[in-house]
Amino acid sequence: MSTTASTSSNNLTFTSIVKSFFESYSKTPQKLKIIDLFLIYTFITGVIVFTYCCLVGTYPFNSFLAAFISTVGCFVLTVCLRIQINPINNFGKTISIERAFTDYLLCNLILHLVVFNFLG
Amino acid sequence: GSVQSKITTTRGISNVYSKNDINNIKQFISSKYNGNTKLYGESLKDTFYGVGVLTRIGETNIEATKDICKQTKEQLKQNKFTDIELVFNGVTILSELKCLQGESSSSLGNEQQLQDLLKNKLENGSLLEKTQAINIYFTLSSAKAIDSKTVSIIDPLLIQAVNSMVSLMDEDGTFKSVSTDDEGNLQNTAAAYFALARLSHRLKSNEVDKLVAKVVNKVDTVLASADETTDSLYFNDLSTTSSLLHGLLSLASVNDKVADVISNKQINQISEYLLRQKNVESLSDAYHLIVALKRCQKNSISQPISLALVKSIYSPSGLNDIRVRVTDIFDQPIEASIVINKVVSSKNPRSTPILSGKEMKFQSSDNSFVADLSNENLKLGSYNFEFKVQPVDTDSYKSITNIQIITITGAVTVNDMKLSYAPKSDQLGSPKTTNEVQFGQKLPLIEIPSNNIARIFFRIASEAQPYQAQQVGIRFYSPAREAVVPATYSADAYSYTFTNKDACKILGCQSGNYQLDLIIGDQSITPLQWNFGEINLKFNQSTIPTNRYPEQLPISHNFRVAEKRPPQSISSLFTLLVLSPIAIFVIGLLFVGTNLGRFPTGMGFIYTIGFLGCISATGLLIVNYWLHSTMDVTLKNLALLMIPLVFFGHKSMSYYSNLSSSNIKKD
Repeated sequence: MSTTASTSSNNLTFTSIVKSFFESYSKTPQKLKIIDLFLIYTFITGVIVFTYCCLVGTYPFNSFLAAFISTVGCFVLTVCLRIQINPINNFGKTISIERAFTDYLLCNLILHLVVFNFLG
Repeated sequence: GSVQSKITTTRGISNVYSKNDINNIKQFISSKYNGNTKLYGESLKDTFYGVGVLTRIGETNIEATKDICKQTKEQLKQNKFTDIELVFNGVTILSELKCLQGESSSSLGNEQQLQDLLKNKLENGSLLEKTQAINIYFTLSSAKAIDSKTVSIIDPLLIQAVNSMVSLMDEDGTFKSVSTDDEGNLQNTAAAYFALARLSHRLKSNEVDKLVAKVVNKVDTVLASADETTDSLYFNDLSTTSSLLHGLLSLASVNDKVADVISNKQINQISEYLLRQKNVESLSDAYHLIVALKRCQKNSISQPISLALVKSIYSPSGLNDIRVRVTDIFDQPIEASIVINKVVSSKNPRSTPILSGKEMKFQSSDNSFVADLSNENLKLGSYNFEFKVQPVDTDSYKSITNIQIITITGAVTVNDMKLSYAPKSDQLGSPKTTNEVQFGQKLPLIEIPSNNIARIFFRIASEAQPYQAQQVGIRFYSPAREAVVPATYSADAYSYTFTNKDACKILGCQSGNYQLDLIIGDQSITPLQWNFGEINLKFNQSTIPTNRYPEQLPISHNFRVAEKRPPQSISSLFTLLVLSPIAIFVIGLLFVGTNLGRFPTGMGFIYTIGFLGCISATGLLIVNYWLHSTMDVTLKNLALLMIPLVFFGHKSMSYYSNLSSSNIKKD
C-alpha cells in the first residue's frame, strides 16, 4: 500500500499528469471532444473580446455586449449540451442526443435573438 | 290729464332761431332768385314759399318786388282763373308783397271767371281746393280787391262750405279730400283747421262755432298720431308738422278748448323738432320752418322760452358776473324774474346744495340777468345751476326750470410741501426729519437711508381754499426708471408714504438719484407739473430688469463629443485576432478527427443538408441584419425561415434518433 503510494507520488510530475490526462481523455467519445474543441474556441474568443475591451476601450459598447453575451451564452449552452450528451451522466435514457441537440439549437436561436438586438 | 300736463314746468327750449340763422335763410332764399323768370325757384309756388319766408322774417326791403309782382300778375292773367292752386299762390304773393293795394280783381283777370272758379271749388272742389278758395276770397277781400257783387255771391256759400268740410272729417279726426276717400290725412287736416279757424273768425256764427267745436273734440286723437321722442314731437315730416301746428294754433285762437288738448310741453317738443331742421334744403322746407317757428313765437297756448348762459366757464374772479339770457324762440328777450333755485356739485348732484334761492338782477343794457356769486365760496369745479324763470307775461309764457352746468376754472397752488424721512413712521412729523420747500422751488438732493420710511406731504389750494383735484400723482424718474404713484387725499391734504421696500417695488430696485415731480390734473384747472426735489435711494436687493423678458445670449448647441476610437489598424488587428480561434477549432478537429463516413444517405441526407442549409441561412440573416438590414425585415425573414428550419430539423433529428435506437436494438 505504501509502495503504491510512493510510486504514485513519484509519478505525479507535471508531464505525467498531462500524459495521464491525455490518456484518460483519449477514451472520451469523439462527439464530446468536438464539443470541447468548440468550448475552447468560444472561451478564447470571449477572452480576446474582453481583453480588447479592457485594453482599447468599450466603444462601441453595444457591439462589445453582443460579442461577449454571445460567447459566454454559447459557452454555457454548450457546457449544458455536453452534460446532457455525456454517457457518464446517464441522461441517455430520458433525453436522446438528438433531443438535446435540438434544445441546444433552439436555445442558441433565442440567445442570438438577444444578441442581434445589441448589434450596432 | 290734459289740464295737468298744461301746467307742467318744462326745461324750456335748448336752442333758439338766432339772427345768424335768419341771415342764413335769407341768403338761401336770395340764392334761389332767378333773374330771367323774375321768380324764386322754378315756379309761382316756389315764389310763394320764398316770399312767405322773407315777409315773415321781417324782410321789408325785398329786392325786385316790382318785378315779382309784375311777373305774378302776368301769370295770373294768362291762367284766366282756371287753376285754383296757381291763383292761390299768386294772390298770396301779391298780398304779402303788398301789391294788391289799389288793385281790383278785374286787373288780374276776368271778374266773372274768378267768381265761377271760387263758386265751383267751394261747392264741388276737394277739401284742399275748398280751403284754397276760402283763402283766396279772404285775401282778396281784406285787400279790398274784390267786387261787391262777387262778395254777395260767395258769402252765402261759406257756411255751406264749412258744413261740407266738417262732413269730410273721419272718425279719427283727420280730413278726407273727397267723401269717397277711405281715410283722411294730416295735410288735409291742417288745411281744414286753418280754413275753419278763418271762417269761424270771419262769420261769427253759432252754427259755425258748433261745427268747429265738433272738430275740436277730435283734436286729441289727431295729436295722438304724432311721433314722439324724449324731447321732440312731430307729424311725419317738416311740412306736415308745420301745417298742422299752424292749423291747430289758428283753431286755438277761435276755440279755447284746443288749449286744453295741446300742452305747453308739446309746443316745446315741436319747437325742439323745428329747431333741429334749421339747415333747410328747399324753398318749401324754408317756408314751413319759418311759418311754424313764427306760430311758436306767437300763439295763444304757450310760447316757448329759452334760458342760455352767456358763458359757461368762469374764473374765480369772474364769479361776480354770472350771466344768463332769457329769450323766445327767435332770440328776442323776455321780461322775467330769475331765481337760482340751487347750485350743486356736478360730481355729486344729489348732495346738499351749495347755494339756494339766489335772485338774479336784470340788466337792461344787454337784456341779461346777472348774479354775484363772488362771496359764495365756490371752489374750482363744475356745478349744476338750477334756474327758475318766471316770465312777467304769464298769459303768453309759462315758467321754466332749467339746469345748466357752469365750470369754475383757475390755477392752483401747492402749500406745505414737505419731504420727511425717519427710521420709524411716528418720527416723520418731527421738524428734524422734515425738509420743506416753497411752491416753485426745488429741494437739494436728499439721501434716504435704506432702513428709513419717507413721506411726501402737501396741500393743494385754490384762492386760499383747499382743493381736491381729480388726478394727483408723484413722479419718480431717473434716466433708467420712471414711475408715477397716486397721492392719497385725506383731511384737505395729500400725502404719499413709502418704505425702501415700496420704492424697490415701483422702481425695480434700481439704486440711484431720482427726480421728484408733482403732477396735478383736473378738467377745471390749469394742469401743473412741478419738479420739487431729488432723492437718492439705495436698494440692497438686486436690480429687477425693466424688460420682463431678460436678454438672452444666442443659443449654442453642444453636440456629444465623439468617443475616442482606436486607430483603424488596431481594429483590423483585433478582427483577425477574434477570428483566429476558428483556426484552433479547425486544427483541433484534424486531431480529434471527424467521421463523415456516417453521413446519412437517402432521405436522411436531404433532411440533414436542408437542416444545415437553414441553420447557415439563419446565420447569414443575422450577418445581413448587422451589415444592412432593419430589425423589422430581419424578423419577418426569420419567421419565414423558421418554417423549413423546424421542418428539416425535426425530420433530420428524428432520422438520427431512429438510427441510434435501431443500433441499440442490434447491440
